[in-house]
Amino acid sequence: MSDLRQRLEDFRNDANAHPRVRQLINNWSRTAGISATDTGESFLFMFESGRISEVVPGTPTNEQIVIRGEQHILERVFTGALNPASAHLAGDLQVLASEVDQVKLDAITMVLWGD
Amino acid sequence: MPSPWCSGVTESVASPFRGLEFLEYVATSAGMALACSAYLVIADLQTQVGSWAPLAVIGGFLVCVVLALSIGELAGQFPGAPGAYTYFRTSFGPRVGLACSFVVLCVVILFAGAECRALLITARPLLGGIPEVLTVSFVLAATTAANLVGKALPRAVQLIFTALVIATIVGLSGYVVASSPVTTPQTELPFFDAMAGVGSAIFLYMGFEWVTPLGRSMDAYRMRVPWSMLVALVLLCGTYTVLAFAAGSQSPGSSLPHLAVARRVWGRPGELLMGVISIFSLVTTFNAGLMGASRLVYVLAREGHLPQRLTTISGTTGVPIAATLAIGMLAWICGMLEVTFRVYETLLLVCAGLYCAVYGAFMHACLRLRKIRPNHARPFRTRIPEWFQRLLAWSLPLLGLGALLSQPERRWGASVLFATVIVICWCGVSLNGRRRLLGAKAAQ
Repeated sequence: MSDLRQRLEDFRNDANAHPRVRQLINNWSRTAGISATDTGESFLFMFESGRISEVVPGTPTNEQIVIRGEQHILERVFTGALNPASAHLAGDLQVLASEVDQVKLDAITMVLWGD
Repeated sequence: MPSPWCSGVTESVASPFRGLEFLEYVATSAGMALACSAYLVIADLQTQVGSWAPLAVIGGFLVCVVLALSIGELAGQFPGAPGAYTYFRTSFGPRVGLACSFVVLCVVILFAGAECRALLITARPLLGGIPEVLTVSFVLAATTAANLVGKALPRAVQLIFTALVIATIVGLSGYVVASSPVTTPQTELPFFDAMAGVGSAIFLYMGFEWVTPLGRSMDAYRMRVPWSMLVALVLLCGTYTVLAFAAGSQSPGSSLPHLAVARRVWGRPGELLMGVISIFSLVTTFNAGLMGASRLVYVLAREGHLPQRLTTISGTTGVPIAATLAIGMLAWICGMLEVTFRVYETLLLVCAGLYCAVYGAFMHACLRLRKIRPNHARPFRTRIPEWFQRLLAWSLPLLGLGALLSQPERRWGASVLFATVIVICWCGVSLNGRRRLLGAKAAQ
């Protein structure tokens, strides 16, 4: 399993085990795609029924949320080592989603890892 | 083509029609600029430059077209980024980036005050004797509450209302222009007045660039997002120009020309109808401005540039509660100051002055990034010669200055408020730097 996929799986397990995150994503159904711009690796998962689904390899096409960045940035973001808001503001992390969804995503990382 | 992996899972936010997606971008861009205070500015332009007002509107449009192309290039380099802060930070460093973001936040708050006056003038025939304080408080509280529960206006509704506002204003104004006697235009316009007129007219398009964080795919930043800004500018220019012509044929003293035009064509029912449409467009502008500004406050707080309390979020919706309340509260304070002192003209002058400087910074950022990041992917690139971009980038603050000082009776008040905003922003940046330095020392 690739490093990025492992990090995404860890993120998924942490989020699914966290009651506040589950409360946050309850009644929120979205499809999400993660793309590493330097290695070309990409994965898909879903937020559905208060849980994050299994991470599967696949190229984002019409996903409601697309997150792009270099692999090392994505790995640091999905392990809580890098504040996604900072990475987003610095232009290192690209988040293509509605404003409401962007706020929700940031809230998830905030609940999981604080600052 | 929808992803086979996600088919049948949920309704897709992504539009199945590229054309519809493009129209939604156009509606967002135009809708942000179609605020009610734009009508106040057109009325001011009539007193400022007289029958040259339509030309000033077109002058502002031409400046904004060049600007939109530069912003399109910036947006393509940072898809989905929250606009100003990212562009300025990557080009000029964190301090200037932060200072410009604070300026943008101040403009949003001051702008809310001016919009409150536009709301009161528009709503007067509808609300009769309801106190101004109550009207402003109710609208701001309702908008803040909608943001707090995480409600955003569906884009289709925004599209329909933007089209309705534009069609109504163009139709009625066109009728008034066609049915009015031809007037002889003024022959002379002093250079300073022309500069001030164009500077004020740029304010009419303010906010068109707020569409840049909303692209739904990488592909959107290649053509659809930049072109949506251009199409929105063309629509706005057409609307404002016809309205400026129509306003020129009205009797002086009507502060909101679109209401006067509606009254002239359809009588009082027309004025009421136009009032209702305008109030809706005002509320959508409030809503979008509040959402954008509260998000900016939240992410700046997350980065440690603003107090940590502003990162408080809702446990169920994820909405940044504290940031939304803070912006809502500041907008309300500004609204109350407007209700008490009636300073909206000064607020508009200061907003125009500040935003022209911010727009100049956008163009500098575009040029600087070409130098410091020459190999960065640019899915869209402006074809305007660099020397012209540079000339305009330096001219924009001067146009802003012209707008700021354009009304002799408000020159002092506007200058003092302008300087106060600059000082507040710079103090905010300095304090933030000192706090970070102390934090780093403590950590060591």
